[in-house]
Parts: sequence; structure tokens; C-alpha cells
Amino acid sequence: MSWRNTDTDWSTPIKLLHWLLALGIIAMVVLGLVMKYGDLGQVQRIRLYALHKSVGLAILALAVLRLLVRLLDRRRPQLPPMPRWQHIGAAVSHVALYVLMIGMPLSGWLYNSASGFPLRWFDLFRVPAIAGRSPELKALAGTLHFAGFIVLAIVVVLHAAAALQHHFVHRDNVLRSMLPRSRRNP
Amino acid sequence: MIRSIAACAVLLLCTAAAAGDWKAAADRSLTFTGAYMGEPFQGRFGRFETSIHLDPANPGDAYIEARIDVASASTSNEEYDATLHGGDFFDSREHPEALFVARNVRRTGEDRYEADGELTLRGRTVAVPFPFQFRIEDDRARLTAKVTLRRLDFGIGAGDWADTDLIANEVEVGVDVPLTR
Repeated sequence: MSWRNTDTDWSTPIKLLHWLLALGIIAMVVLGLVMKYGDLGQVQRIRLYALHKSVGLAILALAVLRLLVRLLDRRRPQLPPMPRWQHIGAAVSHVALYVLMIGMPLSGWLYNSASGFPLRWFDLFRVPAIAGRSPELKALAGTLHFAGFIVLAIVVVLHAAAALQHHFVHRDNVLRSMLPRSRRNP
Repeated sequence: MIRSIAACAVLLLCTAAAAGDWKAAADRSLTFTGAYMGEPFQGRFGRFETSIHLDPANPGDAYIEARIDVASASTSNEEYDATLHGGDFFDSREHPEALFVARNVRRTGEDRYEADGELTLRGRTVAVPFPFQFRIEDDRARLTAKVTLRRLDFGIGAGDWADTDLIANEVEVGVDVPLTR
């Protein structure tokens, strides 16, 4: 357990948030596709939408927390030598992931608000609308949410592929720096 | 002589009947408030016709009738409206008209009455106690009422939709009908 990033490891809060968010994003993609295109009854569909919205709001909170934690501790584990385009690619995709982790829940919330639907967080409390009812805004938010999903799917696949390539092809420390310490070789 | 007395009686009767007849003004409204996921939503019936006879001196003879065009219901939320008019809810294509009839009007206070109502909606007739206000000013009057109905009594949103945590069973109906003689 480490509260700070080191030369070899991300801090425990960053690791925890990384894997929670990874799990959340995968769950959201599956939920989103099933609720939109699945062969469901109307009430089942509504319940999946409610779950999708609740998980999305949780992701929004965790992503903002993650961004704060990351900004408070600017040090990062050392990177192995790699070509400049890979450095740039990694930086761009990481910024994109932060933007999407925050932007996707926000566009979904906006879509829900502009549609005039109620919003409850896991049936525990009511969440206010962030915009008034508006067909134009609803269409815009829906387009943003769908475009964001396409970009997210591409970036997540590249991100995971790069991590696996570092681990299994270059056999360096990049993926390991995000894994629990017990998984690392001494 | 007898003929003229009879004519007088008929005339009196007619005047008496006319004294209690009321025509609804164009700005009448029939609204409903339900709750979806604990959040209230409002809707209104854009078209309904009334036939109202009420003379405060003789409430026993009063009757109130309303014919409601179910397809004119709108919540101004297109998703809600699509579901509302569908087969699981109003089924407005199969049941285009709802009928409300109230008789046996009793006076319960100043401008206040109560009647035994019957509402036929989605093909089901249910007894609805109907307390209402009826205020007369010269040639104008205004009928207002608030009645709470239970949607499941009419089979509205049965099956999977019957979960009242998702959609509340109680629906408050608001009636506001300005009238002229």
C-alpha cells in the first residue's frame, strides 16, 4: 500500500481507481448495447436504463476523483525507452480517456435531462436535471453520447493492446506498475 | 282556461330546467398528475365535452356527464405519450372515449357538493366518489374538483407495469370547468 506514486509503481488509490473504472467502463458498454439493441420487454429495458444511469453517475464521481488524485501527485513511474510517436500516442490516449470518462456520463445525464426523464441513483436518492426539456438538446446530447462511445471503444482497445504489448512483447514494467504489488516480481 | 294553465306550467317547468343547465367554456381543463420513478408528471386531456345540469335549489335532480377523447391526452413528453396511448395503458385506439357520469348530488357545504360518479375508462366502469365545488355568479359558474383514481382499477399499465414503485397507482385528476348558462 502506497499513497504516493513511485519510480516503479502507481499509488494504491490510482491503481484502485484505474481498475474500478476499467470494470465500470466495460460494464457500461455491455449494458448500453444490451439495453439499446437487446430483445427486451419495455419494463426490463427501463430497469437496465436505470442501472446504466446509476453506474454512469458513479463513474463520473470516480473519474473526477481520479483526475484530482492524478493532478495532486504529478510524479509517475519511469517509462522504458520508446519512440517519440509512442510517447505522444500514450499521452493523447490518456487525455482522451479522462475526457471520455467525464464526458460520457455528462452527455448521458444531459440526454436524460433534456428528455425530461427522472433520475435516481440506485433508487437511493433523486438526482437533479442539468438542463430543461428540449428536443434539440436531446438530439445533440444523444449524438455526443454515441460518438463518444465509438471513440471510447477505439481508445480502450488501443490502450489495452498497448499495455499487453509492453508486458508480453517488450517485457517491461508498464503494465506491472498498474498491478497490485504482490503480482510483481521482486 | 285549463289550456292556458297547462301552457303556464310547461313554461315554468322549461324555465326551471333551463335554470340548471350549464355550458362549458372553451378554457375548461382536465388534467392528471401521476408519478414515474417517484417523480411527478403532468398531463392533460385536450378535448372533452360536458353536459351539466345543476340547480343549487334542487341538487337531487343534478347530473354531470363528461365525454373524454382519450387520444387527446398528452404529457408533452413524446416517450411517455407513446407508452400512454399504447395497448398496455390507455389503448386509445381500442377505447377512444372515456365516459364520466355523476348522479345523486348532495350538498355538503357552501358551494360544495358530493356525487356518486362512475368512470368508464379502457372499457372498465368503476365507481368514483365525486366531491366538487360549484360556485355560481350570475350567469356564470365554475366547477372544480380533485379526485384521486387508482390506475390499476382500470387495468391501466397491468402486467410488468403493475409495479407501483415504478409508476404510482394513484393518479390525481384535476377538473376545472368554467360554465355559462
